[in-house]
Amino acid sequence: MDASCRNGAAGTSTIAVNRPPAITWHRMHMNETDVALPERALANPASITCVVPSGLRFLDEEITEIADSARAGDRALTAAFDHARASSGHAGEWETGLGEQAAAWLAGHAVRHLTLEAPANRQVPDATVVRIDARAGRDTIALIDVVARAGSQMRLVVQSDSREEGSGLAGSLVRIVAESGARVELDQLQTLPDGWRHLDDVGIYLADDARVDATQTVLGASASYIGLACNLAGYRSSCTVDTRYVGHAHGALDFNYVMRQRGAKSRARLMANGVLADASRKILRGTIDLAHGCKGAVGREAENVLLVGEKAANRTLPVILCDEDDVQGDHGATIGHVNPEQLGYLRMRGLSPEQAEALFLRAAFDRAVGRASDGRARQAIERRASAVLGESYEAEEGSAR
Amino acid sequence: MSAPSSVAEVDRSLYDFKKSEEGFERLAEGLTPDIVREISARKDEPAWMLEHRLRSLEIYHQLRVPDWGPSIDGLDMDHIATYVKPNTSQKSDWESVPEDIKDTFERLGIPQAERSYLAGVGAQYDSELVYHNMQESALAQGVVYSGIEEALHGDYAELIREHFMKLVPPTDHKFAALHGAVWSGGSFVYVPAGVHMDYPLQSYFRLNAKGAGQFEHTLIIVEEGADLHFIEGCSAPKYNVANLHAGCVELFVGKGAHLRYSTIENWSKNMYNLNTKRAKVEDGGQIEWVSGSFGSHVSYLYPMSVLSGRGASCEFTGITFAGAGQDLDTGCRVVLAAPDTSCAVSTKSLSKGGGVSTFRSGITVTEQAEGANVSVSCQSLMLDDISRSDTIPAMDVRAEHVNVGHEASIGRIGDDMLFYLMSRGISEQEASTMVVNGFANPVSKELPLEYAVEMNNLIKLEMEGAIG
Repeated sequence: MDASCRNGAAGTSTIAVNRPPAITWHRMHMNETDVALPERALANPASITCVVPSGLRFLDEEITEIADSARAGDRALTAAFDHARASSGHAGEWETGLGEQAAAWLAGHAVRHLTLEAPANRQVPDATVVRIDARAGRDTIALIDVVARAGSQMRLVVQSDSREEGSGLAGSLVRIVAESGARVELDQLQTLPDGWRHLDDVGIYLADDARVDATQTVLGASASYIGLACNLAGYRSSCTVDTRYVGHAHGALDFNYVMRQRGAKSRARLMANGVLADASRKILRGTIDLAHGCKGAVGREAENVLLVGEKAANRTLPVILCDEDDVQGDHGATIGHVNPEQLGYLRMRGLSPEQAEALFLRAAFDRAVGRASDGRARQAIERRASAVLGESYEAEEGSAR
Repeated sequence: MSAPSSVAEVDRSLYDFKKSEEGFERLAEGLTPDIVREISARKDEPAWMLEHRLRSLEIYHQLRVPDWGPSIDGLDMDHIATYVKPNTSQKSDWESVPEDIKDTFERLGIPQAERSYLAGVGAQYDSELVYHNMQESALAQGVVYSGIEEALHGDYAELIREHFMKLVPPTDHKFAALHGAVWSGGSFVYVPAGVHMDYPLQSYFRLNAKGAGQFEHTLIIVEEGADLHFIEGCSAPKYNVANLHAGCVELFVGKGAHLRYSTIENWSKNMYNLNTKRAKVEDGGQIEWVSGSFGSHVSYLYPMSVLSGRGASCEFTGITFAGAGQDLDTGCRVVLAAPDTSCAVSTKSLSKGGGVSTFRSGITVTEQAEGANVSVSCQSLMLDDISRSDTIPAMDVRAEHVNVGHEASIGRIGDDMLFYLMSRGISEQEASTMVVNGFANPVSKELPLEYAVEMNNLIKLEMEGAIG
């Protein structure tokens, strides 16, 4: 048994997740996070629905809502993904953010496995939407494999939500191979109620000129573990990750991003913006790894954390690893409270500091609504905002993105 | 391309020269309770210190080597002599110091520096202090600057017992435990309340013995409202076997006091530098670290500041230059544990010739540190494509009304800068050295002139090639 996976309480196994490539003092408690994962009944596959637009080839046995009547039904697709993954670099270069053990657990507990293929040079503007409607007391996990063939464009939306109170575990494992010149947009939204746990894991391989733009919005659950690793192997490959989150109550957020920049002139950008309220806590690990040979590569990280809770705790580990001279790597972070000028301005308009803090929390939801991919996503965000803010929330029309 | 004359003028033998060990006492290699008892007996220590040493040895055997830093597989404690005593006792005038040892420190410029601008000097050779002296004016102010072993038998014995390894307990990490077991030599400084030292004190540590370790302990207490600048220097000749430095520095900065602790580290490139430095700062006190790391084969060096009093502050200014065969993991730790505390960290690192430089920091803002301000800036310069530079800064913020800012960047010397300088007739190497000196300027300007010159010379040497 691997050291990072061990037996826990009856019916659970404990896995260390989100271990960054370079660790630091163990007493900082940032090197990894232990997660006890249940070995229990899986949810009904019908709790995950997929909408696949025309133009994509796909394989899924349980798709309940099919936009493309010409369902491929082609099991060869999984083989195609496996082949693409196997040929996407040297052995060992494929990785996900949560880590090998967690990825294996997610794959083993997935109740739906969707494989998508964007044919070469095909541009598919409509999004593939995967909705994970989690069931209490069950593991509701989707496994989604994507092959974007050379020159193709596609968009994938993954929403994790539940209308059931109580507790459970929901999540997804998304694996993307983007061939030369392909472009993939990935939009992940999580709006689970308090009491739930959530795991999202992503692994990406990028060939020459391939590009992935990922948006991750994390608004709910008592504990969220998010990992994303991208192998920018190709010349001029590019990956951006835009993370937005809200921490509230005693919620825990745990992120790990790894950008392996191996291709010359590759571009990586990590952006994280969030609000931590009440006694919520967050760890964000971001690694820009500028490998030998990636001449001309640029890797950037930026993070802003707004603390609006007396007991909120923020931990950040922004790492740059550099094994090449002709590169640029940089990181900037600001962590703090609403600045006194802003508070003073709002006080002059009759808002107490608590009301001002609530305003900033509300603004975080407004921004999430502005990024919502569709009406259902918007409703889920509004429901979540009402729960967090303790008042009925309805976003104004035209909420800013 | 011909080497610039400015580089050729630097005397490469400045640090890399060896002296005979004839007449020295050298305890057996390895680490056993008997060796620890032998060290303690030779120093005629009080019983509590022997107990402390033996307990530390037990802890050492229980703790594991770090798994997060550079490899120290090449360090075999079974082949390190933990105690080498020169054939002399501590002197207070250079003329009484044996010729070989005096010549060593003269070549390093220590007596000249003492005459020019220092209020006191301590010089350690291998495991023991060989020279310690302080100016009358400082004595008259009530300042104490002596060997710590000497002080352990004098009026300050109880004060030392109260403070010794209280900031850095042997349980802190494996090499703190090692230090607790076999420490030898080092300085004790006590600056009474309200006393401002106009000139710095300096301790210089020279490790001449092949295959040996140096484990000096520096304990400084700066009382309320007092002010001190302490300078630490170190060097060693290069051998083909591992040497070890596992010193310990404990600094107590009282209310409203100010302490600047400057270090130019130039150990030889067979040295494992596993040093521990820590300061505790009370209300309104200030600790300033100025740190230049140029030597060693492997370094683990992270001066730590614990800001325990309201309004206490820390400034850390550091530069690390990793050349061929070096893996230097340096940075700092700061714990802001009281309201309105602040820290400013500014570091520069350079990597060349296959060297590995890692900036590692840990900033902790506790729940008590409301109103804290933190800024961390780290810049790294890659001077070729066979070297490596990593930054691993960790921030843990648990207070609400704080401001924490962090920025880091890694890159190489801009072609535009080199082109500009070369278009004015400057060679590429000279231009590179000029740019690097400019990069290092924020650190060197914090040092006394003589040390800034030394640092610039070290940079020139590193730019030219490996030394030591």
